[in-house]
Amino acid sequence: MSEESLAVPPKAVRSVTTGEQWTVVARNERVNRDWQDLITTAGENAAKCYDYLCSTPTVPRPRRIYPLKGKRYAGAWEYEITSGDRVFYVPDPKLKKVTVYYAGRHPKTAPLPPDSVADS
Amino acid sequence: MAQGAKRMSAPTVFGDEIFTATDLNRRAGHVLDEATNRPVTITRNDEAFALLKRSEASRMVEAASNAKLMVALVTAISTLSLANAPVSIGHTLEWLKAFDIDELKTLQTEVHTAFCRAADGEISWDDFEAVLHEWHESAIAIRSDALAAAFSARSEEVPLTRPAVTASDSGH
Repeated sequence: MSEESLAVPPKAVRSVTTGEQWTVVARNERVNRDWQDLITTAGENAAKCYDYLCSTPTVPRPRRIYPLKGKRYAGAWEYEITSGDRVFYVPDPKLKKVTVYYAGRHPKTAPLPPDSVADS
Repeated sequence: MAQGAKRMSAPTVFGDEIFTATDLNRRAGHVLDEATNRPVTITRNDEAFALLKRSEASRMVEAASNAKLMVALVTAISTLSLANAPVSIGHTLEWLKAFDIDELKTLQTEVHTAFCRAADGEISWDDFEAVLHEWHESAIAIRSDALAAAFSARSEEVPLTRPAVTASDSGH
């Protein structure tokens, strides 16, 4: 897996909504296609998500919308669209811009080899 | 942990008002009124029963369950950070391995703080579980090849498609 640093992930901060809309973009066309699939399969939830990203993307909701923990994705947020679908995005409070990096099925991790194998 | 455990012992079941089974028969309203405020004990012959609000009983069970979880979490973190011993693949908290030592310290502090606040009744146990859930989801994200690829993909930004019917249109 190539190790590239994230594209300037600004440390997200809790912001009070000012009523001003955020610009929401997909990282690339492929992400937008995946997003369109979500609109098809989970339309109402996707609509709620879109409204949320446009208005209050840095306001957390426990278990549903929250900044990722740990250093690797610091500044990135996860939005649980449904139990099996996720959107990952990075809000930029200075630019009032949200970049969606991933939209689709829950990125479940592949099983790891046993420690004995990994250590050998 | 000691602080949290001390706090959890506050709503006592046994150091309370004691009524006999006869009291319960004759003055049920009064006994239930007392039980609304705090757990009461009903005695019959050599047996003693606790009478308390269902919500309080539920809360106690949740507290015990989450205390067990908290101990398991601290044990697993200690295993990882102090002994540097691997947590077995089948372990329910195996996902902790996604984080380094500093991150595990942060995790432990956040979860413990949430635990104490839930034990004190400042937040719900659901809120406590949400903190743990968010760390777990973050571990999954860190380990995901699909997500790593998505975050390292070349930037060719396009506007995100606006759903035809927005949530505000549908009254949400």
